[in-house]
Amino acid sequence: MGALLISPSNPWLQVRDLSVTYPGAAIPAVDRVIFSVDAGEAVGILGESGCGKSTLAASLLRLLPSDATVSGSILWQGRDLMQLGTGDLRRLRGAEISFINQEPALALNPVLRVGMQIAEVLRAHLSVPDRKARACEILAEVGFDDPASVYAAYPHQLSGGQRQRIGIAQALACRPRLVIADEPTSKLDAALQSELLQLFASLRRKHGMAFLLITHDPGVLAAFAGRVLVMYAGRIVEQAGVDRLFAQPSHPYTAALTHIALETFAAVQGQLEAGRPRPATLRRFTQITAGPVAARGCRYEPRCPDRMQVCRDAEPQITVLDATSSVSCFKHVAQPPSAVDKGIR
Amino acid sequence: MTGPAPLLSARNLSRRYARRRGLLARREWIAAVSDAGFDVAEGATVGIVGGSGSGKSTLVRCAALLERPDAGEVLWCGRAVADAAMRAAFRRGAQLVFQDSATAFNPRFTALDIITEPLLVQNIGTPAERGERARELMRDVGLSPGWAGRRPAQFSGGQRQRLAIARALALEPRLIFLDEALSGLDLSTQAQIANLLLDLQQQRRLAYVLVSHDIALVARLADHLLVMHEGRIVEQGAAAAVLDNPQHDATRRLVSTSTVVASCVRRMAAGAR
Repeated sequence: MGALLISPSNPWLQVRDLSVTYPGAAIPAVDRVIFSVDAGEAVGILGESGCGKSTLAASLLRLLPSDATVSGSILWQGRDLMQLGTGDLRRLRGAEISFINQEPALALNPVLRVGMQIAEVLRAHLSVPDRKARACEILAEVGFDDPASVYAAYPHQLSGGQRQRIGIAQALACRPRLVIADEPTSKLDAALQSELLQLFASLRRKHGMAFLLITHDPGVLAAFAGRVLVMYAGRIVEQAGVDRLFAQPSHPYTAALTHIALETFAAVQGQLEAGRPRPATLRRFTQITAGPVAARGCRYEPRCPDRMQVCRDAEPQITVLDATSSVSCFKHVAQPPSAVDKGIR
Repeated sequence: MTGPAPLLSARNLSRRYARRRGLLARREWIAAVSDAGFDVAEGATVGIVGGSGSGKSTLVRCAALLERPDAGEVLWCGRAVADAAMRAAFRRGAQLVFQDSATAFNPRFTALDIITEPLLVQNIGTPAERGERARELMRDVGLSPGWAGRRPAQFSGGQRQRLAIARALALEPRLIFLDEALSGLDLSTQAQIANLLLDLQQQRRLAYVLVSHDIALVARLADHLLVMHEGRIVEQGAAAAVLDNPQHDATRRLVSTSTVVASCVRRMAAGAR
């Protein structure tokens, strides 16, 4: 398979042909996903609601509901997580790979002091004689100026952004090597958002942690990730370094998403140049055509402005563009499959 | 100011909250909003931006009379909203849409119930007329009238936002307060909802008060921009001018930390396009 060519030399996490199907669903929520995360790398997964990105994130730590059917392999430093027993999994979660969900604040116990909730994580994984000192250290690391007083606070005494950081402190307490963060910034304002991304970046530098950051916001990934996987309807449709992705998106879906993300800025810039009053046309957003997910052929075909006949008939395979980028789109296939392939499908 | 009175005029609004730092600690007062005011002209969009805890939501809640300000007043079409009659006129003329409307809907209500509720409360029309109006409104906001029997959970996030807009439109308001109504949506959904709001504004001469932490988005949509910091309006002016030449530190911070703006500038500069 061509996609396997794009694996870093020594990946920590290697996901191969991972599929997740929920009962009664017409198409898998995650469909034959292939990617890897290298040592200390910051990888982003970009996708919109319903594309399967949260299912993908949860499946990596086997956190899915039991009625989901999972296949494929998830190799973590040589071990296949799919084969791991419950005890081994529990020891791994939090200690080696940890998970930050969209609202870690919701996971906090309202009647326990937040410091104890961080110490609790330490108790499960480390035999630290002075857990409080270690918890305070982590609180300082996630940006609290006065860790001792935060340690003694209850969740309701902290603001939303502060609670988010407590959740992050819990996830980081055992210094995991990989942090999977599912929309960690989407409920935060711009200032807290960039603060959090700076925190992640400094943790990467200091401890060599790797991050897998899942979001619907291209701006967040532009600011943080080195490499981005774009997900649509369960499939990874493109992967590329973040610069290439923004400057030269290869998949029509990526192109549309990055266009909207850049457009607000361009519109504001245009309004500045035009002076006031500003033309109302500059305010309008480019819309991605709404449309269903195709049951066969390319999933994006019903919405795609560049669709061809072949897109309806066959599913595009992964085309390798360069050492770090690939795309699944017939626009990038030199010779799209002929009518013969149509008969096979 | 000469000419007709603005549609909405919020004057010198202040609101403070009590807070205790511990169980036995003395109560202390936090000024959430201090002496803040703004005008909204008919058909215009006023944007309010600020970091979390800057008081932008409290200011809007006070201006929308969801919360009683400790000081200041709200004028509707030039008249103080002080008595019951003015309050009733204000309630019909000014509506609200929040972030994630799912939490603002009764989960057992159908879309039809949700949209007709304001009409029912205001005693407008017969049940058949209300139903007809609700279907019309669903069409106006791009929802299929065939979905009138669906409940909130059966709609996607973007569809629920459309539903909230349909409900807000039921009483034919002249002003809608949009508190983070575009936040937390996917970009493609956000684009659709923003375009819907622009279309409705043009068709109905609606005025908007748009609250968001995303200064670029607000600057794109608003005519006039207010920047809140620690409960005060620290800067205001034409949206483009404020963004072009921010005067206050808080504004500069918002501009520089807006990840979309900051990072995309870099990417665009570096990019091949």
